[in-house]
Amino acid sequence: MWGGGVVGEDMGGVVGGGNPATIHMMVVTESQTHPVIEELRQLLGDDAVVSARDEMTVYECDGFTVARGWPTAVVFPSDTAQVVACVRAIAKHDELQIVPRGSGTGLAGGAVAYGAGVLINTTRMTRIENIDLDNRVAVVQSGVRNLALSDTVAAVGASKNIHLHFSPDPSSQRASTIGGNVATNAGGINTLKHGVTSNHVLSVEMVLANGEVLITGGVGTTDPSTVYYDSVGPDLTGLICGSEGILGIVTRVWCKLVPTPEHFRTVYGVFNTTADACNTVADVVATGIVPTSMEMMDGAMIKVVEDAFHYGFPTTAQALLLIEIDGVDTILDDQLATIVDIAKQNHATDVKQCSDPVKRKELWSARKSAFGAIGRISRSYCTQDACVPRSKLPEVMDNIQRIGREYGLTITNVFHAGDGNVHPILLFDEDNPDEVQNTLRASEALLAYCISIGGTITGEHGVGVEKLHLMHKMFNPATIDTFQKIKTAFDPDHRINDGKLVPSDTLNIELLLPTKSGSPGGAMSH
Amino acid sequence: MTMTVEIQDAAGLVEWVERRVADKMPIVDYGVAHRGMGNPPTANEHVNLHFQLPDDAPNGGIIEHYTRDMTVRASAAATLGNLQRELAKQQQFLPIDADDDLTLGEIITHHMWGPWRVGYGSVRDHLLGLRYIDGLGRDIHVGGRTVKNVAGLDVTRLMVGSLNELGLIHEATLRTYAIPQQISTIDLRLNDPSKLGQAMTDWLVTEAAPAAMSMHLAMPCPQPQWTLRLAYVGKPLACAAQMRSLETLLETHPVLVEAGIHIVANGIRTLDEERNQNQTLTAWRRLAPAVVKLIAPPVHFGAAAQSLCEWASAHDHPLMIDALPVHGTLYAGGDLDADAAGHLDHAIEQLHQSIGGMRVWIQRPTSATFEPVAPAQSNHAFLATLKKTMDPHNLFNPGRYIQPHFSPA
Ligand SMILES: Cc1cc2nc3c(=O)[nH]c(=O)nc-3n(C[C@H](O)[C@H](O)[C@H](O)COP(=O)(O)OP(=O)(O)OC[C@H]3O[C@@H](n4cnc5c(N)ncnc54)[C@H](O)[C@@H]3O)c2cc1C
Repeated sequence: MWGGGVVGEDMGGVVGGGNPATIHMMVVTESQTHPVIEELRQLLGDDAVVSARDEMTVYECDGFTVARGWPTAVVFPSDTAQVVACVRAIAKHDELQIVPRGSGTGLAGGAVAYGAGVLINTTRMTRIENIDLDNRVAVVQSGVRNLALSDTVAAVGASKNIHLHFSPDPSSQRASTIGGNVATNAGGINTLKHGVTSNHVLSVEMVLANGEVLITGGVGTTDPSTVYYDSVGPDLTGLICGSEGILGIVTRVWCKLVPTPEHFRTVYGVFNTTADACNTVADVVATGIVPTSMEMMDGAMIKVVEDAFHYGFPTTAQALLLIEIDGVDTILDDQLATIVDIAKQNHATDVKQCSDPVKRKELWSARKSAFGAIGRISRSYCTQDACVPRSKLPEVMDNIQRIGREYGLTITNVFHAGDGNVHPILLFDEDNPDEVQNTLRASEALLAYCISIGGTITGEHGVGVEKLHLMHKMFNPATIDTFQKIKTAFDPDHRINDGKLVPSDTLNIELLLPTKSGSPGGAMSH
Repeated sequence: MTMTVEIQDAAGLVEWVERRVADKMPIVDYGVAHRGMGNPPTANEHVNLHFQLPDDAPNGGIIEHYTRDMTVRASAAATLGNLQRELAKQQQFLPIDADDDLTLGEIITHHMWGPWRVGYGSVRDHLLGLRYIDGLGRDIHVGGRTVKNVAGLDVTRLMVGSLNELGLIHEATLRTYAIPQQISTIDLRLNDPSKLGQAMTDWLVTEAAPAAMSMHLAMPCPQPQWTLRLAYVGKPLACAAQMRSLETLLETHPVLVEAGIHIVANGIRTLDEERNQNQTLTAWRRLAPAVVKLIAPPVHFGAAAQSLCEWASAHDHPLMIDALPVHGTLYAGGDLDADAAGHLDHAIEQLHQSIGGMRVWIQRPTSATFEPVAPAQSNHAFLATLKKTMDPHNLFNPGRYIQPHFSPA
């Protein structure tokens, strides 16, 4: 994720995927129209098709603001039949890509049309079709926002005293769609104990490139609101989770609902070294206690957060570990005592419990707002996302700092320590071209290092266009070929979001600096 | 021609499959526990493969145990029993419900699960990465060893339940769990399972939610005696607190009171004792000539169990039944011939009309003519396309499940 920055300047030279190749590029200006736009208007009505430049600014990128491209049009279908109709209409124009998009909070550039292409935006597909508390399942259209689902389930269950929710909890849950969560296999702060999106999805409905509708898993053939927890044959639902919109457009999701935890204990430990905090993480997990979350901030980040929120964190500390457990009330205190002991054995200088719900809320709000506070110390920053084996966290933290020194950059960290999911934040000044280049090189070095110790290039943000060029470092050629073949089985003519996630010779994206709002920029649009 | 081959290490398997791919010789590996699942192989000439490590294989088949990360990388030919024994040396285990002699590969490709799924999830949730040989004889590595990973398509999960039709798994990396300090088991007797489904969500949102749950017929129909088995795990204090919540729930929940559920036994078991007990209770499934898995919305599982019991009484066919109430899955079967099994299939078909669901025959009597899976899954045709992609010469278990309209490339 790239944040801050106001100057629209070409970063140059960064190639997002494979070899340079043919891109079907079509520059769309306000006066220019593509015949598909009229066809789509006929199908969906004028208010569901956007094609004027000034209305499309927001669709030029997603949360990965350094890769940009103007779509030919953006359509807003309201149900599966309309998605099918759109796909069939767009598919008649060979030069157009079909790009699924939810709320556009993705952090890897996956929801953008880089050449000529139409965005199929699901944000009007917001019907929660069925909430079945007895079977603990909700059937939703894919444009339903993550938090809207849990809020509605809570409201429906309240009268019956049944407290269920949809567990995946990305920090973007207020905005991001369930379809987007499925496509990115989103995780969150509670992932450590409760799992990622694919652990909570029973079935999906997906529109394929030829307009056919595929339903995965065990969905009732006569009553599609019924879904089973088991089925037969390969797990297509699992494959579609995390497929970043390259296999089809997810239109409906059968979501598992699970009991909402009611009892919590929250504790934070302060440490003089990041290694001590990391060892605490591994030691806690080894006891068999599975905390809901174990989040860590390093020294620089503690200072930033404290300056912004005045929570009372010691600003000289080098690491802060925020741990939460949930479960059976009577045993939480016992588990908490074990965690506190472990933190102390690992030289925590201070351990504070937080039983007051208001304080707890503030503490989490401080954690969740950490990224927003970085602007206080740097005009621009780049957040990386990698996952490493938990036990290697101490050396990973050292190496992140080593790489920062090598490239003359400050790197700070706030991350999901319990999952080994690191988010080094590289601070730079976008007016300094050397720093910009060093930020990109340092990012590469960081990810290459994570791969070398058994880690992965992305724990939750996805590959999109951002990390395409690193896929060859993660997977052997036969495995990449398998990904390509699976893509072809779903989408024989490579019409849906082609070139993302799986390296190919389709896309060559030049990454740019974030631009001033309202001043469109980007290599693909000019 | 059929022949049976035993291969005992991954390198040997890779080389052997490469040769079969070169000769275009179909490979049949239906597993042990579910060998009757699906249709018989359609290829006249094929080789039967049995990929299992010897009992004295080093480290029980574990390739690397990342103890502090709580993950393990193991050969798919390792048996679950050997893996559990090795992991136990580090106080860890895999919460997987399957017999000790089954291999990890078989458990994954058949997506086997049972009572522990309630608290721990199934093998699908524990899997982090896989290596398998594809239909071109290539060694494919998907996923990895980190607990979160979204790089590339999630082919790891695709292979779960694939019945060895998309490739042959030879290695898997999974999460491990700490052996709980205590396992408290509780047996409950109930008169009428049909009510239970309605109470399940209420139960799960309380502190009495168990880590494992299964339901069994202590005596076959037509004189049914249902037992519900639960397990609580953790520190003794936690188990005791959950037990108290259970007692309160049973006394106060109107549906449970009406269903006449009461505790008949409770005790503390070691993990091995608990695993043995589960294996004993489900042993009939490996022996019976007719076994069907009925999958239904969980709220209806009790009604389904009751209805099958009534069928058994009416037709004088003793049936064994195990159910996994939380997930709405039920196994029924016994010593039925093709005719009787056909009648049972028909009875289940009628049940589907009223409660929905699907059925998968794990074992069909010889000469049975009904479909192995019904109703047909809507994604079946697409699976044929996928198989063509991943196994272009139709070499892996040809015809087993993904069979119609397949013409080898
Ligand atoms: C402030 C912030 C915090 C975040 N925190 C987290 C976090 O904690 N955990 C985490 O995992 N992610 C996080 N993200 C990333 C992002 O929010 C998630 O990836 C989210 O799941 C994307 O949902 P979306 O609806 O915005 O999808 P989009 O951004 O619109 O799309 C993302 C990808 O999914 C595809 N897609 C979207 N909808 C569909 C569909 N219906 N069918 C097929 N493909 C589709 C797109 O083509 C694209 O490739 C965060 C992002 C921000 C900006």
